[in-house]
Amino acid sequence: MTIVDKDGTSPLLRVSDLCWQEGNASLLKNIGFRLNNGESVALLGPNGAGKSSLIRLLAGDRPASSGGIDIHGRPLEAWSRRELAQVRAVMPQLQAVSFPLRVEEVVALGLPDGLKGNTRHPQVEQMLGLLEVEHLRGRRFPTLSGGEQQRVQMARVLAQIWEAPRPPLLLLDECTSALDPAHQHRILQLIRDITRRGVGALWVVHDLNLAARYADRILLMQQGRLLVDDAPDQVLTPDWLAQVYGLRADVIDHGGLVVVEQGCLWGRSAG
Amino acid sequence: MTKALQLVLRNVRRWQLNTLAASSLRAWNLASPAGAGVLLVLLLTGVSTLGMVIGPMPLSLEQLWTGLRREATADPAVVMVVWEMRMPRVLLGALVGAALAMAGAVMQGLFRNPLADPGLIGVTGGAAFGAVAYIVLGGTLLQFWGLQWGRLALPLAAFLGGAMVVWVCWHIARRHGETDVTILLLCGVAVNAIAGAGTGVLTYVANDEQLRSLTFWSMGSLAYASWEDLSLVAPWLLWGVVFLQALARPLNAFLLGEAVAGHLGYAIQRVKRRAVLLATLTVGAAVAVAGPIGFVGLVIPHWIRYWVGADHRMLLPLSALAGAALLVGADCLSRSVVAPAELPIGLVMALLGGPTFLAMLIRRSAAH
Repeated sequence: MTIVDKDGTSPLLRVSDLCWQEGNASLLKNIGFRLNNGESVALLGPNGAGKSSLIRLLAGDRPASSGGIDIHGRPLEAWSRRELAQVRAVMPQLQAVSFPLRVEEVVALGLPDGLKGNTRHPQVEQMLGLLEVEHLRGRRFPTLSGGEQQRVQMARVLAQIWEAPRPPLLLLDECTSALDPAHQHRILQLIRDITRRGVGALWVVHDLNLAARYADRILLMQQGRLLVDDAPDQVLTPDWLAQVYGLRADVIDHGGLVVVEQGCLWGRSAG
Repeated sequence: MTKALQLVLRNVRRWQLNTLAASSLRAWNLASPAGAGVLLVLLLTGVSTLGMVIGPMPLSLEQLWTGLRREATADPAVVMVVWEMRMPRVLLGALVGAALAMAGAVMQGLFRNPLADPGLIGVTGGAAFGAVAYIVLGGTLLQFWGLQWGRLALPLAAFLGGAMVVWVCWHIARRHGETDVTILLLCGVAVNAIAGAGTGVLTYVANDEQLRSLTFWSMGSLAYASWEDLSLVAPWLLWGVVFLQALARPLNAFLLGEAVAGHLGYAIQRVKRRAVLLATLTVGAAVAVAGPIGFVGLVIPHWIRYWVGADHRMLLPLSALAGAALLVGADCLSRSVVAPAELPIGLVMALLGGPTFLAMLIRRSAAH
């Protein structure tokens, strides 16, 4: 991986006053934040807060209703899909694949233009090793477990930006949702390591303690709005958690932030 | 002494043969794309030869050879049968089979649904409507069409019917400059039903003679293959096959999801437009000359995918080869089962394809 930040002038990602309406529903309202290369940022919020919608807009899957998204100081619309693929990789939520592609074929699809699909390229091997899925190399993707599929997809995503010509942006939508606890830590540690080498990462997660441990900053969303954008110890407070999630929680400092979830503040007990 | 020597020699020979067989089997790994390709080329050559020799006037291989080379000593009747009757028929069968199988593989990849079929986007239904409309109304309402196009009137009507239905579906499925493939598929189902109803109404008003020819057309046949037909559709089919192959890489990315293909840098709208356009051209051209022939587009890509894998760079050419071999083979059957009469090839395909597909499903569900 050979990424250095040469021009510190414009942030890797700048979002300003972003809105998105779908029909009558206003899904995102006036979102604004910056993400620099070298940062690993967690995107938190209850179900339906608009996290995935935001990722989708940032990935260019849908056009925004208003507001701007700049990558490397250039509006998203001005990038061609091909150029964008060199500096931005996206991991969507777990999605079924009903065709018997092999694991190595899936990872090789992530390689840059000209190498795409070349399963013998050494980078395929390297990514498989990094995600600890070398032993699955010849297996057919649909036969893997959910967690294995997620690791293979992650290998594909990393293969896409591993040799990026400029500091790349990683957009990860619940990339750890199907993983066992050890692999969740392993992958978020891996993301943190590569952000130290110039990548910028924005990841959606539900586990508050993973966010506390691996995020440089946390964006907290609720009902389509960005409520806070701050350091983990400023966002993961009992007050914010109660207000946004309706969660009763203690936050203790145990050589690092630990959120102890105590229960739900809303709803009724049965009986 | 000589007995012992003979024994040793025999054993050595047997051992040699065994290792030879084993190593050639290993070299000919049949699950590898190259092995599958070689096998399918051999199969296609075999059935094509068979298609050239069987029929009301059976030929020996020697007669076929002299006929093919138009040697001076060759019987003129043999030359006629080889060049004017069987050759265009085998070539047309191979081209139609290749095009249908390849278009099927592309549609399945595009819709990310292993059960998709070129007929789903409405080409076949629309083409049937076009053809039946011309057969029934050619003497009255559509007389101008026949006068204008002559012998081409029927295939052209079929092709236009198919293309029009796809065009309608494509435009209904467009939102904000993007085409939603799920809506395209549902739209194909609905428009197919409407075209089917239209075909039904026309069938209802048809007279006896029209009824016979439309029934015959709708079961598919290669019986009237001629060089003229071939020169009419071969460019479209060949062109379609070549350009469909160019979609192999983006289709691989499509298997991971349309959005993912976009993230990987592919212009997804362009890929969808090309896939649908090329499938319409090839399937429309195939149906126009051979009538609707089902199952090739559904079964062949399925087989090949479970044989060598889902990579479209291999899947598409191998499907084309297998589709060609299957259709030429099925045509041999259709000519010989009830000889001297002929079964329509669409019927043969349904009789072959239906049960094999079921058997495949049963075996797969038993394996899980």
